[in-house]
Amino acid sequence: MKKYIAYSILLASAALSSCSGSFLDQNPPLFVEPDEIYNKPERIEAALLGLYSSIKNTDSESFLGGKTYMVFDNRSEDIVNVDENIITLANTYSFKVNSTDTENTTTWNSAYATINKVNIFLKHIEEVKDLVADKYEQYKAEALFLRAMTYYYLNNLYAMPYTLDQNAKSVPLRLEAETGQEHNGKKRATVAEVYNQVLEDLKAMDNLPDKSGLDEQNVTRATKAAANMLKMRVYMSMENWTEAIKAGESVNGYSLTPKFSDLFRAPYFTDETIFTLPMSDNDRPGSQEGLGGYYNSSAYILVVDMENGIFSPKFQYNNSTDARCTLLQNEGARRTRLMKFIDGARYQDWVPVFRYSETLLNLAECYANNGSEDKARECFKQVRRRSISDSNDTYLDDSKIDALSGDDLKQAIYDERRAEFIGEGIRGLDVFRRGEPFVRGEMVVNPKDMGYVWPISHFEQLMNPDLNK
Amino acid sequence: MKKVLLFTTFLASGLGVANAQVSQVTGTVISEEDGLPVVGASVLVKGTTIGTVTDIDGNFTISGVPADGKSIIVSFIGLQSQELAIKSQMDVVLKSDAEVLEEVVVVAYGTQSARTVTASVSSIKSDALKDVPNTSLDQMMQGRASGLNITTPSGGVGQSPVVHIRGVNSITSGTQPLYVVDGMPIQSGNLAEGSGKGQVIGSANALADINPADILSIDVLKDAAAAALYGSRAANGVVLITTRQGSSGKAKVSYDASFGFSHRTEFIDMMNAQEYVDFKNLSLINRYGTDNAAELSNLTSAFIDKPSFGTKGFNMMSGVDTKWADEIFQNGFTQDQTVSVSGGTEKVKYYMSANYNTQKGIVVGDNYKRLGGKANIVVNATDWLKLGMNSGVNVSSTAQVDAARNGESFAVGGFPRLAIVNAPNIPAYGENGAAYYDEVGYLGYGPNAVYSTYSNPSALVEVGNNTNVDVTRILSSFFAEVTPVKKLTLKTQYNIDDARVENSNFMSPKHGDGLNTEGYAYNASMHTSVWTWTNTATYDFSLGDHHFNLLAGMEATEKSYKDWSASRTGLLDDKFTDFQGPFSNATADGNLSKNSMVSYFGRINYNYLSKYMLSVNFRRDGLSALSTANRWGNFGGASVAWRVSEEAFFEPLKEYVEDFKIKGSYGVVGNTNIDDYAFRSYYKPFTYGNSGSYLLSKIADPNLKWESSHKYDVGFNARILNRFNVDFDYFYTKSSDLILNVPQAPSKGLPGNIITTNAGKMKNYGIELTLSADIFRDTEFKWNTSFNITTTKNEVISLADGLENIIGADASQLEVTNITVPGKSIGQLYLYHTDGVDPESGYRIFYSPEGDKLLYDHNRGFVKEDNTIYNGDPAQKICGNTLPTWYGGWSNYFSYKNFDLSIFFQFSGGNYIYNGTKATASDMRYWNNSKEVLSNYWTQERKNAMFPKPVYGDNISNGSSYPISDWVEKGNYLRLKNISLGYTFDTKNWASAIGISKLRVYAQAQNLFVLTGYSGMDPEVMSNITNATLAPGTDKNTLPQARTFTFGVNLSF
Repeated sequence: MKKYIAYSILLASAALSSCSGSFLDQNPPLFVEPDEIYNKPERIEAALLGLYSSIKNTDSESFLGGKTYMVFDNRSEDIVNVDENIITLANTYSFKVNSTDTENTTTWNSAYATINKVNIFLKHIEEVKDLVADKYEQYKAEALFLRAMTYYYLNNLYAMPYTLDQNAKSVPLRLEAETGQEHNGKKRATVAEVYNQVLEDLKAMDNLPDKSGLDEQNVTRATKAAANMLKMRVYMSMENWTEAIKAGESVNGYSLTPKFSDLFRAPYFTDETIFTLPMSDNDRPGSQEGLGGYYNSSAYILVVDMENGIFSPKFQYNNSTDARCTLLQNEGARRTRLMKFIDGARYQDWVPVFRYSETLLNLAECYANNGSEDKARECFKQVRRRSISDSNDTYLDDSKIDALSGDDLKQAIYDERRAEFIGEGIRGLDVFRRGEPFVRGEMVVNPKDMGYVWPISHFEQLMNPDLNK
Repeated sequence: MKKVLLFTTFLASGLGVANAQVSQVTGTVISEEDGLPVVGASVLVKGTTIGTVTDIDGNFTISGVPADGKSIIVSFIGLQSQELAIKSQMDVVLKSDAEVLEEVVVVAYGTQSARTVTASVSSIKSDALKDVPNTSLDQMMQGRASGLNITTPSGGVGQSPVVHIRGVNSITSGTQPLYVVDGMPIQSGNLAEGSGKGQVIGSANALADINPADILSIDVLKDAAAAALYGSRAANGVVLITTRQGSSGKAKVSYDASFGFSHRTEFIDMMNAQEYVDFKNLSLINRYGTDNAAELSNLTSAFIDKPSFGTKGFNMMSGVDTKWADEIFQNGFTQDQTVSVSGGTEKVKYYMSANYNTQKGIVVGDNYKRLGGKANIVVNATDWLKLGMNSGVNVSSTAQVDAARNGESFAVGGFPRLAIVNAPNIPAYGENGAAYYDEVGYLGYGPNAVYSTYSNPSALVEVGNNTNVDVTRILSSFFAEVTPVKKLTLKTQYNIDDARVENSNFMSPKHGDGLNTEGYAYNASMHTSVWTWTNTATYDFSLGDHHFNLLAGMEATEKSYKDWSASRTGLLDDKFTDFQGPFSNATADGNLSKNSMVSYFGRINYNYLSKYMLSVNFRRDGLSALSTANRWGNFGGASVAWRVSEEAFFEPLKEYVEDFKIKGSYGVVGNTNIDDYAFRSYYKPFTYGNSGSYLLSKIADPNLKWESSHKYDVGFNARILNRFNVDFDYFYTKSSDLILNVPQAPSKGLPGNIITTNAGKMKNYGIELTLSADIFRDTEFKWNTSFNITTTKNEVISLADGLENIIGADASQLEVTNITVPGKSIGQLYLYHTDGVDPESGYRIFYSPEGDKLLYDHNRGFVKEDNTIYNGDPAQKICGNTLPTWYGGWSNYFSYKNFDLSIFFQFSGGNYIYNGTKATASDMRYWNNSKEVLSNYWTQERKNAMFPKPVYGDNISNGSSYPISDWVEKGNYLRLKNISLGYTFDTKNWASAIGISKLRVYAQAQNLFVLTGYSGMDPEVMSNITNATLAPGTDKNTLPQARTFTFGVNLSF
């Protein structure tokens, strides 16, 4: 009798004492909570790199490292989107993007996700200034650079061009960290206000490093040169040629790569590279997001427009001795591939954002607009001669270039930019910044037409009550 | 045992002295369960004290039956009594032991007499399930119990049905009930889901690891009184499963086997090749003014100028007329075998079973295989100590090629969609007999001038595409029970639910989804392990007529989840079709998470003379997923019942109403189905190029707490004329603090654009009625029937501030079809407002948000009535509720001599369905269209048409890009779910050398017909199964249901 009572008591007491409070403290083994991030310099830097990840792509969505980057070539006349698939930017290509289309939603969401991450980072880094010591100013400047980049791209999709209406409504300017349920309302700023903010953020560029060598770090993180390139683009959009030239002339220490195709093959950076977005096995866009998938997968999605584009018979750019044309691979009618981005299976091509050739052609355009045509022709020649020698250049040999002036010179620069940067997200920005219509064969999309400017994402319209205040 | 009872019964029955000897009755009494004679059964002439007990061979003789003796009553302890009309020779079969459970209800942490139960519990006995050829118990429950609504998404193998008990009680935190097997809470749902990164993954129903043949009964706890002891896990009700146990006596061996044939019920009738070619060319003319390929190629880059056959946009290839549906469906075959042995002594009781089940599905490539074993042993070690174990091991494998599972209704490799869209003038097989596709790897041009990027389902099978889920599952529990003093029981039980899941997916570089990655293989190895330790003390005592039953307990549980996965691309040699083959690239990934919970609980059951009953219970739960300040929650309930029939004043009525009980309950329960780290904000490790980075991944509400449901129930049950049972309940549940992902303005840039917080309120109410009757009981022809109906009304009371609605879409977020708004039931259909086809123009009528009528002309876009172009999105509108508002079942059991027949109907309705498959079948791109389109498209001669004038490329008019309200239909149906005919051999007349005590054969048909007004394949449909709560009621590229014919045998030794 006593025995089993003793056992029973043992059983009951074991049961009641079995669980202490700590049993309920389960710490996530794979995540890091915010206070753990901002108490260690290495993690703070990794969180800064997370901002770069964010502007590039995550494993599911992409911004400048993928889909949104390609938006600006789909909004051009040099590329054909032969797929009718709405997922792969068919609506962007046909200028039919509505407020619920995925490219609109993901562009909007990814951009603001980056902006808020920047804002949260900026808030936290103020609290741990001492911990990062001499890196504080640089980190801050890098974060601001990324915010400026993001607003620059938004301003080129969601608002009328500055040149047409600098007071047009653009996107809301979010500059504070958001971590709660408040502040859903925020009104749209004007185009000018957004550009002013971009320039404001770029004021921190003095704290960015200069290029200090040629390695991944120097081309994938913000440098003074990268910031100057962005500044240049902004001033060009505002047609402030003087300031743009100032920024462009500050870009030093870069040179054109002799072999054009080297820019697009591993290791994906050269002396010409100013800012590029890296890819690796563990960091690449998801399916239907990567550049290689659009330009060089088994199905054809984006091909070179050989009927209306810069390499079509309408222009004189299709010269087999031009290094840029060696990257065109003809596989049949409407089947000419652009071989800049070739990894159709794993999307590991790095994404060029700023390269020195753009500095030169930007300067060329600015000089031409500013009356310094000699300088303009000089810059133009540098870029063109890298790809095609004077003797092979049946269209624009040196003497012809020297003869260019006024609108002819500008037009030549515009066309050269198309040939040089096809696939690199420049042409769509150029047409837009100049306030020109998008013309593709018979199709003309004027600035007043639907599709020229994207409508604000549907969910933003629903959730932001102050949007149009 | 039966001999001991012989003596007691002999005394108890008090044999009277015979008077007025009129006639004599002789007969035998046998037990239905084992066919053996019942020794010592009492046989009594009704209304007299004349009677006897059966002898050792079950024989009895009653002489001196009075002239007014109409019937005899045969009874035996543990068997169901029978009253039969007097004949001179009577063979009486008493129903099996299992029937005893009608008297006992399994409740939380114990059992209770049905008479004194105060809660709302539905019981399903194994008898009701015996011929039903399903591989999982959740499918079997459909229609069998009131308050239980079950939707089987389709006839694809391995899919978990969606189970709702008394409506939907949560928006985001899970709506499936808690399943408890023999006191052990187990995992339910799709075991293959894991933390898959959006890939199409396989299906493995966690409940399929319980062999239905092992189940003795299923008890469904519906109200708070019944379920509150499960506290935070009981918001959606609790399903208690009791498996078979051994009983003392000689070993009994049973063998149950069945094999069945199945086929799809129906599929959409698509155009044949000639119809397709003519119709598509017509649509080209309507769009471009020509169907000439060369001209078309000048107009649009989508066409080539020289198709390989003919000169038009679409051309015939001689001898080709492919019926793609035939390529995806096959005749299914199912076989199931269970061997069990049970028996024991007074000290040791055992039950063991082994099961082998294979299923070849109705869809090509669908296969399921399960091999399982189970054993339970109970040892009475001493008179105060009882020990036991109850263990099952299952190995199963589910395979499919069809990529459209788990809500992936738009998957490129989705079979039902391919069967609809693929052009019938492209062959399924090439001249070499191999499945056809072009040199690039797509279906290609075929004879047409436009390129098809779809796949050939036969080729997908041929090149080796597959998704496979292998599960090894251990469900095991051990217990010790000590009785230190009489009526006090201390029990400790330790449970393990351990599932290892191997998920693999292969896509060939030759054809289909693997083309772009030059071959793709994905493997995920997942391990979920849950242990639960339950300790209870029960004390049962009486003070005079006051009876008390006390329960106190504690429970601790921990769930740990691990997976690692890898994907590989760039297959070097397409001879290989496995992950382990030679690929050029691999990336790996993995996940880890854990949660734990501690609970303390108690219950007091009180009754006075089994007349007044009161039950109070309480549970306090602490969960690791919530912050220290919010992790503890208190739950509990109280219920009362009054057996009016026990009152003196009821006595006059008692001749008609034997038993009448009124009951009521109230309680609060919670919902734990939330993320393991729900209250924490965190960064996730990521990479930027080749450097590590941290990406802010989640911003959480640190004050997150439990969802809670307040449940009310009132009802009564009655037994009338000893023949009819009536059960009635009114229930009302109000759920509050519902955890919602409250959308934030995307420009705030919060991860996912949401904050997860407690905000919503919702209610569910309705009635449940069950009527059952032994219509013919005492005759040779017997008919027993049971009918149940439930009505439920769900209403979302409020969402969060700033959250006016929640949009519901498919798994890939490609198509929005649902909306949840306050004031209406959850998951309303939300579609573009259309109003048929304009008879004059032949265009579909849409509306602008301002209410203007818009006509969709594919050549121009949306056109207003003043003939100007409308730039903007057309308006959406709410188009009806998707939850059935009434449902139930009607079962009938007939027997005559050795034959038994059961017929079971199941019905459901009051809901609306969006027939999105119709949109797929009427898309005017190069996709094939249904015959319905052909016979009902607009022409000058047919102005009242269902489909507009066909214009090539038009994916708007018929709902392919904008789901339209014209395709909304009612979802009411009545299904003949099961009909089964059995024959039991007279084994008792067989020589005992054969040793067979029972032999029954049966034939069964499942899903023989469905009566419905729904024009799609089947009104029981659920395309968005991964988002079943917020996006139900859509039928988008869904598979049909299966019709199954089964033949089986039950054999006992």
